[in-house]
Amino acid sequence: MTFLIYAIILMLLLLFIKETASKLHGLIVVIFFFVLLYFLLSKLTIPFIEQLLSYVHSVPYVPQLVYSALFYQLGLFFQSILAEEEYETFGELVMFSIRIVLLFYWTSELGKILSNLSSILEKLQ
Amino acid sequence: MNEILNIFTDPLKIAGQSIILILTYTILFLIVEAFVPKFKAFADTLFVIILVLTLGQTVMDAFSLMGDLVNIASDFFLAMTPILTSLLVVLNSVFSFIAWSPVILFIFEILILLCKKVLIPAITVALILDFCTRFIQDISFSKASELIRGSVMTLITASLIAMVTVLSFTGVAFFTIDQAIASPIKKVIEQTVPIVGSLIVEGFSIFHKYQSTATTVVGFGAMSAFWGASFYPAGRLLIHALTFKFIAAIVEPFTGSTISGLLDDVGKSLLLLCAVSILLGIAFVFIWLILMVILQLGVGKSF
Repeated sequence: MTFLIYAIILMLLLLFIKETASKLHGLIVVIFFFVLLYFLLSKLTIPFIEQLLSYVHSVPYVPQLVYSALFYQLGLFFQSILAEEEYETFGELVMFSIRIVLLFYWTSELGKILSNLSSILEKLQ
Repeated sequence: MNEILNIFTDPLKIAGQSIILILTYTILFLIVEAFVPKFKAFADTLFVIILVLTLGQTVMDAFSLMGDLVNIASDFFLAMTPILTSLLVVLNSVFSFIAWSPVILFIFEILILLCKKVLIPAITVALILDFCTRFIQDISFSKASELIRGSVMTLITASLIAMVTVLSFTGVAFFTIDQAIASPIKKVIEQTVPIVGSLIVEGFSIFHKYQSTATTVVGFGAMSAFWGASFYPAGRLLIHALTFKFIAAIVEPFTGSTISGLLDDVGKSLLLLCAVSILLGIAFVFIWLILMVILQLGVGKSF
């Protein structure tokens, strides 16, 4: 709930700034975005993920999976903030890089087991 | 004793573990999708990757088990063939009883050759095609993999029919094959999918028929050891295959058709491997039985 109050206060501040100093508005929106993101991650998301992971710590690949989803969502946030500042292409670039990073990680994990498989297939011959 | 029990409980443990793993992953994926809905397209692919990462070991275990089994069986038949043929030459009276054994040996050799050179590579290719179909959803290889699986199944059925025909042609004395064994084979021709089930039933009935002979030679314990050794890999493969089928059934309502379809395909391929290993098991038991009959005839026992 604290997060909701923060968001509303910041929104009111932004509206105020928009009316009085509209030239600074875009800059302050970005600053407030990072402030809210910091609160979101440190107060809510990370504790939630840690609690979730503590239930399933014995299952392999769960942390990687959850953090990939978090990473993807962060990419979406950055994409939309960039789109708000009318830099859509930059947003697309961010999303593209995030997809590449995720694929890079998961294909390297897959590569390990595929090499294992091919060694077994060679043994069969 | 504990180690012997472990042999039988290990496959079940692996089965239970993989079922729990997949359930956890399904729940987790549902949670992730609830929080990050746009992640869904990515998550489906990721689920396939995670399945390969976690269950790939089981599939590879199954394949290496099958490979070891084929290697052992081919070595065994290679070693046994000269002994059996020389015994056949030395003991003339054997011919009247085991007139079919040269043909049977030939069929077993063909079976081993098929397993080594055709079946296992073909099933591997079918699995890889299945994986590609599910992973790259725009390109479908499902017809090709079904074709490969179908032809492998036909080969197995054909060799099974050949074996049974030869046995019933030259059925002599206690080796007579009655209608009870022949009728499941006819059903197998009609519907090849539940081949594994009727193979198991047939294996049991064959064992039941020859058990009386075997007990007089080495006793029930040794015979059941042969029985266990011959059919243990098949049972293990069956548990693996059924695990995959079961997981596919559980997961289907919660995930897309991609994941459950992939699991189902893997299950089908493993069932094929299981059918092959049951055939090998039957062949193995038959060779032992022939050897025992020859031994009995050698010491002068008559039937």
